[in-house]
Formats: sequence, C-alpha cells, structure tokens
Amino acid sequence: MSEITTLQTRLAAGLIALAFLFEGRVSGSEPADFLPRGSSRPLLRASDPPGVVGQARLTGRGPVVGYYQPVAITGPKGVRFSLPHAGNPSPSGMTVPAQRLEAGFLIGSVYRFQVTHIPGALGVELFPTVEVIDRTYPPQHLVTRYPIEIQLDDEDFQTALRGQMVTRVIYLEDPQTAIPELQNPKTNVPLEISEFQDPLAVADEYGRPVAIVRIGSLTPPSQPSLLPEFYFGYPQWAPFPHASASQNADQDEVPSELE
Amino acid sequence: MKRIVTHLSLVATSAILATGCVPVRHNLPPEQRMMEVGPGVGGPGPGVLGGMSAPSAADLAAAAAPEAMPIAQSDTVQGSVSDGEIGLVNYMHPGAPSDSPAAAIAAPPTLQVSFRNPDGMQVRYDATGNGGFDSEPLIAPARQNFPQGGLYRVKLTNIPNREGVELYPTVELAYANPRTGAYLAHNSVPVEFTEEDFDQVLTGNFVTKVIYLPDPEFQGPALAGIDTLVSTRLDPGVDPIVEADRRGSILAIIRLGDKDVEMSGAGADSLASMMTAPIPGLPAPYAPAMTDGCGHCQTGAPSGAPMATQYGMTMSATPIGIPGPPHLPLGQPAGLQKHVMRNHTAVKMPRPSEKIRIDVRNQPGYRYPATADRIRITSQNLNP
Amino acid sequence: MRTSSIQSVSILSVACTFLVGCASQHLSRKDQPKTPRVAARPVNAIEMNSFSNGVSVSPADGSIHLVGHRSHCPCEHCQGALSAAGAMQSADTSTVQIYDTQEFLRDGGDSGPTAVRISDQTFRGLQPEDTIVHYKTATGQPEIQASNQVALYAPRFRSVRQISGSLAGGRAVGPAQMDRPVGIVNVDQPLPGLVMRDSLELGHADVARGLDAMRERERTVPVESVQQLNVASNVMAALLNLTAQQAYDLQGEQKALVHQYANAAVTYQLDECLEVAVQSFRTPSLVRDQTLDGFTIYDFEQGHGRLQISKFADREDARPGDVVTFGIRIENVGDGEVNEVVVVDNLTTRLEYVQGSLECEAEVDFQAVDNQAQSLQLRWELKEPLGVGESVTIQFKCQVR
Repeated sequence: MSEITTLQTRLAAGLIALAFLFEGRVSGSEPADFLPRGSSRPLLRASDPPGVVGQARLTGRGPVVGYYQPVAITGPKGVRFSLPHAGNPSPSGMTVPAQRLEAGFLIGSVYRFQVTHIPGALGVELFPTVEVIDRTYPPQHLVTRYPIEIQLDDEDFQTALRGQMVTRVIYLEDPQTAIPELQNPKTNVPLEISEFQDPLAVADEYGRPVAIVRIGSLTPPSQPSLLPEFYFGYPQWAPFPHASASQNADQDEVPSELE
Repeated sequence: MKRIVTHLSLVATSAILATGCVPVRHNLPPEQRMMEVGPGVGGPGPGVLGGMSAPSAADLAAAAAPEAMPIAQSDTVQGSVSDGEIGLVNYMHPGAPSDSPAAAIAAPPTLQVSFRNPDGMQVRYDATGNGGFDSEPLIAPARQNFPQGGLYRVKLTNIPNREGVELYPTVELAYANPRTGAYLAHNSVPVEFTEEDFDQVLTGNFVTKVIYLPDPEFQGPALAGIDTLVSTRLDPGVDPIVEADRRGSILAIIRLGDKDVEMSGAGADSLASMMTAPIPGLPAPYAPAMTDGCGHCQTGAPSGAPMATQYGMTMSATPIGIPGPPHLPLGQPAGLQKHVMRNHTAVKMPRPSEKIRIDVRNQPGYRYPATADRIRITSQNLNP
Repeated sequence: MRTSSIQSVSILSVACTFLVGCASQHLSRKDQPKTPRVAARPVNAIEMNSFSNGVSVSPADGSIHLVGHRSHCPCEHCQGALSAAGAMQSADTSTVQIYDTQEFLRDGGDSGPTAVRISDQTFRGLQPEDTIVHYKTATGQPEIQASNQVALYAPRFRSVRQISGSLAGGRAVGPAQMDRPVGIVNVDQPLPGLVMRDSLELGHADVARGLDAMRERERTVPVESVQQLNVASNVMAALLNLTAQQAYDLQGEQKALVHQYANAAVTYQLDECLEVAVQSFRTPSLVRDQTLDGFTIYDFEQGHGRLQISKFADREDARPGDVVTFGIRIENVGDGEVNEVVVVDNLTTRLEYVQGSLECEAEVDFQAVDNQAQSLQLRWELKEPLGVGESVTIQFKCQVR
C-alpha cells in the first residue's frame, strides 16, 4: 500500500518536474494539494514551539513538576558545551565549557545552551535548545549515573551553520524493538527522517520520547534586554553532585580544563 | 394556600409598619449604575465583546446584577476570561511554574533577520523612530533582531557592482505562530537579494519576495525536492503571498521597488514611523504587519505565557457572520454562514437551563424623597 | 490501549501488595494478568498517590496517608532556597517507586506463552528473555522449570533527526506602481499585507484526533519485580553458592529443624514466665513434654526429581558496552535423579554473548544458535544425570549493546 503511494507521488513529482522544464514557470497550486494526507493531525508535534510538548507532559500522566531530569549532552571530539548561568560573575554569563554537559533540567522548560569549538568552524558559536519532555525512572542511587544521553554529531552543527534547522527527538528505546547493535559514539547515529514526517511521531513508534533538541543558527541578540527572551527566561537547572561529575570526567578523553 | 397568602400579607403589613417606625433614609444606586439604562441593559452582549474574550455565563450574570451577586469567576466556566482564550487552555496555556524572574521584563517578541546576499551590501534601518535611516550600517552578511509583526523600511547602499544605487525595500515580518515558533526560536529569517532582483527593479519593475516555512503536513510529498520554485517566476496573476501561504507559513515579505523615499517631497510625513522602537537600538516599525492577531503570542513558552489561539476555535461567541476559525482563510469578508462543531465527548451533566430568570433585590432598596407636587408660597410683608 | 491496561494492572498489583501486607515476590509479567481486580476505589487512590512525592503508604495497616503535597514538595517553587542538587535526589522519595520496564533489560523467567519442547532441539513459546531448564525425571516425565528474572537497569537512548528549512518562495515581478496617486496627497496607501484575500476550497477540515499523539507507554512495574541482590561486582562466587529460594523456601529437613527449635522456645518461655509466687496456692505450671513416638519412613522405589533453576547477574545496572556476568544454577531438590537436563537461555536483543566466556563445572554440550531477537539462544545439555542434592552452576558473560 505504502509502496504504491510512494510510487504515485514519485510519478506526480516527475510530472511536475517535467512541467517545469517545459514551461519554466510555476503556476498556482490547487488548494486541495495542500490538505493533509491523513485524516488526523496529532495534537503535539516536534515542530511546535519550544516548550509546548513539555508543558503538555506536565499536565499528563503523574506529576513531574519540580523533578530535575538529569541530562548529559556530548558531541564530537573537541566540542564544548556550556549553559547560561544567570547571575554568573563571569563576563560571558556561561558556565565553564565542558565536553560533557551534565545538568538536571525541569520538564517542560526550554534550555538554550552554547556550543563552541566546533571542528572546522573555529570561533563560531551555536545556541541550540533542549527541551525535556519526559522523565526516566531510575532506581534512587542511579539517578545521575544514567542521565538522558544526547549525543550530537558534526552533521548537526554543519547543517545548522548552513542555515537549516535540525530537530532531534531523543527517545528511550524499547528493549523489545531495540536495534541489535552495540551502542557507542560511532554507532549511535540518529534515524534520519524526511521533512514530511513528524520526528515526535516516529520516535514514539520506537520508544518513549524524552527530549527534543533543536539546532539552528540563531545568535544572541545585541540588545541585552532581549536576552531573557533568547534564553527562555533562564529556567532553573540543577548541577550534578560533585562525586558523579568527577567520575564522569574520568571518562572524558580530554579533561575539560585544558584549552 | 389561602392561609399562606394571608400570612404573607400580614408579614408585608408588618414590614410596612416597621419601616414606618424607623427614620426614613434615602438610598441611591451607585453612580456607575445610574449611568446605565437598567440592570442587564448596559452590559456587553454576546458577540460584541471587545478584544477576543468570550462572554461567559458569569459575565452575563454579572452584567445583569453588577454588584448584587458574588459570582465565583471561572470556577464553573471553562473559559479563562482574562486571557482572552476560550476553553482548552491546557494546550497552549499550561500552568507553568513562573520560575524566571527575568521574564518579568517586558521585551517584545523579536525575530532575527539575516541579510545575506550580496556580500558587502550595507543595510540601514530606523533605529530611533523618527523616520530616518539612522542606524549603524549593517554590512552583509549581518544579523539584526526585529520586533515581530512590523513593516520596516530598510535602505540598501553599497550594492556590489551597482555604484550609487540606493534602494528602499520594505520588510514585513509576520508574527510567530505555532507553526513557525520553533523555527524562529532557532533560526534567522534569511533576506537575500539576487542580481536579477536588482535588474528587475532598475528596469522599473516591482519585486515581491515571500519567505515562508514549508508546512510539512500540508505540502505533500509530491512537491518534495522541487526547490526550483525558489528561483522561478510565478505565473502572471499568481499572488506569491497567497501561494506561499498555501505552501506553508509566511515568515517575511520583501517588497522592492525603485522609489526613493528620502527624496524631498516623496511623502515625507508618511515616512515617519507610526511607532517608536520598543527598546532602544531595535528597529522601529513603519507600520504594523497585517497578519491577524497573535501579537501577544510567544514563540516559546518561557513562563507559561499564552502563546496562540487555538486551532479550530473561534475567537468570538457567535461565529455566524465572521470569518471562520483560524484554519479557514483569514481576512475574508464576513461570509461564514454555517459553523458546525460536533462534540463527541461522553457527557453526563444536567440539562442546560433553557431559561434563566434572575431576580435582583438590592437591600436596602432605593428610595427617593417624594417629589413635590404642590407648592404653597406665602408671602408676608411686615413693613409695608 | 494494551499498554495502559498493563499499567493499571501493575498498579493493581501494587495495591494488592500493600493492602494485604504480604511481601511475597509474586510478580513477573506473566503473573500480572492473573491478579484479581480488587475494588476500584482504593486502587485509584493509590494510583494517584504513588506518583506523588508527599504521600506515604503505610503497609502496616493498609491505610493511606495523604500528606500535604505542598509541604513535602521538594521543588524550589515551593520551598525556595533548597539546593537544587538535593532536590534532584529527593524529588523521588515516594514510598512506591515507579519503574519503566523499557529502561530495564530483563533476562530469565518464561514470559508470554509457556515454553514447550516439541523436539529434541526446538522449543516453542520461548520468548527472547526466557531462561528455562528442561529435564526428565526417573519415570520419564518431561518437566520444564523457568528461572527467576534478572533485571538490569540499562536505558538506552537514540534519536530521530529531521532537517528542515525555510524557502524563499515564488517571486512576483510586475511593473512598478505609481508612487503618488493623483488627487489628495495624503491618502494613506497601505501596502498589501499578509491578509489573504483568496478563498480556499476546503475539501475537508483537518481534525485533531485528541491526545493520543504521545501514546501511553509507561508500563510500570512495582518494585518487587525488579529488586535483586544488591551486591558488588566481584562476589560472584559467593552469589552462586546461594540458592535464591533459600531466603523464603525451606527445604526438607530444614522444616523439621525449625519446628524443633520453635517448640523448644515455647517450652523455655513458659517456664520463664513464672514470676509471681502466691502463698497457699500452688503455682500453676504447665509442662509441655513432647517426645518422639516414632518415625514412619516411606520408601519410594523411584524418587521424583525436581530441578530448581535460579539466575543471577553480578550487577544491577549497565551502560551500553558493559559486560555482565550471568550465573545459572540448577539444583536437584527432588527425591530422585533427573536426566536429559537441557538449560536454555534465550538472550534478549540487547544482550550479546561474549564468545568463550562460558564456565561450567559439569560436562555439558554447549550450543549457541541465532534466535528471533537477533541475539543468541544459549543451550547447555548436561551429559550426566543430576543426582539428588547435586547442583550445576553455569557462568557466562554478556555485553550490553
């Protein structure tokens, strides 16, 4: 069924492309061309404004208000991450850049973080956002050992630097439908989907969506009074306890204090 | 039955007797109420409320008896009257913890515009609101935050290979909406001018460019990969704005002509901005954008601010006679004649009351002094 | 729909556990549908409370205390200057902790349809997580026994990526308009705006289906089913000498011993309680004198063998790439020897058998074949029959994918 549909759509695309070749002009589209294919429209989509999906979780199953969900963000070698720290005495107002950004994030709040030291684009900073939309349920003593692992790769940053937007939905994999492959930074590649699919719906098929990362090339506004809007009102976050942080620092190949 | 009536009449007489005993006081209704025609008449009726708030049953009752009835606001009624939203508030208006003290600073929602092509071109805008192009020049590629929902005049100078050419395009920026909020929170709106654009303008043509975000849901896969649309001309008669709105959500509209707005006599007073810059340094809009509503919308949800009107929800109580809900084309003349919403919720509630009778009794009641109906004037002169 | 019913059932079972006050380890996924549906009201109460932070469920009397949520709420909005890190630790202090089965890797048990051996080599109904032992008693009766379940906390996160961007749409070119209209100079000439003046023909309106875009996926399990021995990683040897069921399952002569000690205690205590002597009265005393009258010994010509299979892991949590050592111990707790003992461990997708890591004290035929979960089905066949009281321990390592 789906194969037939794709075949049809490809035929249609080819015909339209042919029409372009001959006419060189684009005629107006029929309004019916742009009606949704399916009969339904999900209420929550990854393309919703940041915060909407997470806020919907707050009123959903079980109270998660006030829970700081541990999250760890890693990237390619050399890339550093830091978080805005309102009231930080340092001039940049950011935390110390680290190779592995670890913090507890409130569900439903949107956190903008800073990416620096991008390979091949030295001096360039990116400001993606992360939105935690669900929590995990680890045993008490393992809370900070098993944060939500968000691994960004170089293509994310290069795509954003080209002016496009990357939406990543991180999901907790269902072990019964898991991919039979050892997960390491090399094999942990995202599932690429087309522009016409909803990443939230796709992630929901393979597991439980827990976070949305959106990467674009927006830069901080030059007016300081616009900074609260840019940083989504500086929502609170919780640093990891020190013991676990040092344990994780051991796993970094390069200590973050260097450079 | 008769007995009761007689009792009641007895009570009435005793009441009269009792009032007859106390000194007579005169009570007048409050000044505000004196201004109105009568209880329930002066208040707003359904469908004619100002703003976007819907009249609720509580409103009607409050209008009927402004002070006499203490009414539990919005306990029984779903709509939150103050926010101008109707029902279903949990979707767009979640009760978020207001954890950001910085959010209290009122900053207008902005979006970032990046002027990309051609490199080296200088862009100036109105930074003070006095109608000039008095900002520091931005040298492309450059970025600047603009308040959403405004029409901005910018001045292009130093265009490569076109010495002495100064152009004054307008950039109309739309308000963020639920479709574009995520994009605008992470990306800038690219404003680019090609050589062909300049050629067209300098030969006396008028160029309209629309930057839009293709809607993944409404743009069918049949159009996937055809990005030649970007540089192709539309058929004559096809409005690019309409076309872009069908294909997605409009981010910005650029109109480029060869009018020199700084020339003396070129309608200088129309050049003056209608608004001043909301924050010093931000570009001042020349006119508001013509997008409908959503001026209060946030692209994100920093502190639980209401973000957008509901899809499929009307903005007034009686949709008959007004343009349809937001997914219908906006801006139409009033044409909607039928509006059907089916509710499939299993509801077990008492039947709605078909008639409401509101008995108002103010205590103490009103009493005027009896008007004079007879005047006697006695004049007496003691010393003739 | 299915997942949500499982969730409610599991919460039901939590409710049963607490209301009855029993602490038995009765839960595996297989058991859940059998749990009787008890009255709905208290269950709902617990369901609500178990998520909440400020609620304690006291198992002693089965009553539920609703503590003020505000006062116990550890979040900073409520309490102000509470350390955020502390909040991270303490936000989760509900009495009944909720788990998500998707975050656990489980191995062992016999979930789904019960495993049946249909030939020498094949079993039917063996799910990816199952671990069973198949044997024949002396009478030739085939038996299948499932092991306990081992749960490892090993969540794995993946992501979906979508790349999108804006388009500079169609561009219209037309003759430049007249700048100044003839007539009144100051006519306000509004530029055309975003407002659409074109009518769209709506084939059908898009319908929001409702809040099922994020399906419920919380198949929660109560704490009993994921509890296991909280041990460090190098005490495998000690672990394997322990029988899981020893803690609550008394065997053979142990019962008699406990009985004897219990009786002795009663006798001793009755003598001790004599504290007050009243004159001119004979103190009442009770002497419990029990002697053994005799034994009856039943001789079975052919004893009935029974195997007990238990499974352990040397850690309770694992990251991808970690190696976990599993131990399977089978013990003949019956009265006769068993033969044709086949132990089968059907590994789940995310467990990868480490080649050559098998350690076994008995002589076994070992086979590893691919299974439907794209992992291996491990299979040990004991060459020798297993006598009464004898046990065999198998150790192997798996890498968490």
